Amino acid sequence: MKATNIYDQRHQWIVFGRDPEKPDGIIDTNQYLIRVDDRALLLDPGGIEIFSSMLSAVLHHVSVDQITDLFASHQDPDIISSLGLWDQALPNGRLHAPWIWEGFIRHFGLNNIQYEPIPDEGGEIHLGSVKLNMVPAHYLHSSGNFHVYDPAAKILMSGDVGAALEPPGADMFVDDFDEHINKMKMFHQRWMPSNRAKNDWVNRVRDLDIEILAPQHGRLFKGENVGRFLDWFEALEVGTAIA
Amino acid sequence: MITKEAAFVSSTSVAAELYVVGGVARAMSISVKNAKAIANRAGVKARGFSPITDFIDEMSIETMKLVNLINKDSIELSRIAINELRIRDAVEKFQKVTETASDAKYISSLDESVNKLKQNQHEEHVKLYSYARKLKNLMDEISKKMSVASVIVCNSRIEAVNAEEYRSNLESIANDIESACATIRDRVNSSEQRLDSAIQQWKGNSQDESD
Ligand SMILES: [Fe+2]
Ligand SMILES: [Fe+2]
Repeated sequence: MKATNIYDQRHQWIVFGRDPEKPDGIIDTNQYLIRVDDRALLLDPGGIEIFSSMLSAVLHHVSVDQITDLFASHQDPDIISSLGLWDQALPNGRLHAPWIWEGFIRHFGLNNIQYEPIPDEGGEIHLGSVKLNMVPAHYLHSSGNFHVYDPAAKILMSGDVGAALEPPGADMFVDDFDEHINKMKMFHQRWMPSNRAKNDWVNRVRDLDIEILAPQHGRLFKGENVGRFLDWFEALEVGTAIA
Repeated sequence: MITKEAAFVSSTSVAAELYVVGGVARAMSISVKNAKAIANRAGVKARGFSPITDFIDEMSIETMKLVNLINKDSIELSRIAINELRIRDAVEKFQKVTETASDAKYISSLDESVNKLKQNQHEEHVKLYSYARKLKNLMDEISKKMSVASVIVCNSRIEAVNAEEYRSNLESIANDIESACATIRDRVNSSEQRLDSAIQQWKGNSQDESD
């Protein structure tokens, strides 16, 4: 699995993805690791099928006892079905995940890790000296859904928002935005259910200072492409399966 | 055939299979109560029949009790077997990590989790063997009861001959009981085979574990 540093100052952001060992037929995912001194947080750690590659990659950067926190933006299998295995790997861990999904996510197996339910209005994760905001993104696409914003790094991990379906081995960042639209249009129209939820999210996110928008599938948006994405998403009709 | 079946499936099937045995034993107890009623009506003509029905009645009740015990233990066995499967899956995945990331800076941090997991796996194996042994003993007890029952049913046929106009009724009840015995014996046999195949697999796994 490829690891790419996307922020490397006093703390670090690393994205893991483009796993060449990933079995065919499962969607490619981006997993994120935030490291602050001797602590680390994994954002959307991924599905059971990529667990071995993911843990192998992570151990190049942090030890298992340093991973104190996991975050799941929502309940989907590509987000968190590996939980039962992380539960056996991490001697002490907390999982931050939407409160509405607690009884569901526990089906993946949770005996050691502590479930920290995120209330609907969101909250903060304190990872050592770094404060991260859990930003509500309900109905995008899951009915209980959060993104993680790091004000110091100016990165928004946006879960399935901004996701693109791409052939294996795609670059890490969007270079040609217009061309990228083809790869994400259907995904947003079909997976996102609510125009109201979408516009509400766009309005709130416009207030954040974002340098990198980091989705869970496909390429990341950097600099001007972040604003381009917000404009494009705002104008898009979603929930098309019943249109 | 069942040797290909995964151990957790075999052990779970044992619970289901023996649940059926409970139902058959219940039906047997009802047949025997019918036989008793007929023998009472037949009076002296079926004098030799009553002690036989008493015996079979008692035995079917004991069999039901055994089945209840087996039921509890086999459900527990299948729970442990599924847990063992999950632990084994995790051990395999962790082992893969230690191979693919042998050069990773923090690879040794995984050791403690792997050791703990292997310890858990070992404990689950110990529990599996102990439950499996207990179950096999209970099943053996049922099998023995069924062998005795077959002999008793043969005797009851001899007694039925003297029961004149009640003869055919009593004989058909004897047939019912005999076929119930056969069904129970079959089920218990196939359960034992399934359990043996599961035990073989667990033995294989604990071999891997000690490698
Ligand atoms: Fe999703
Ligand atoms: Fe997703």
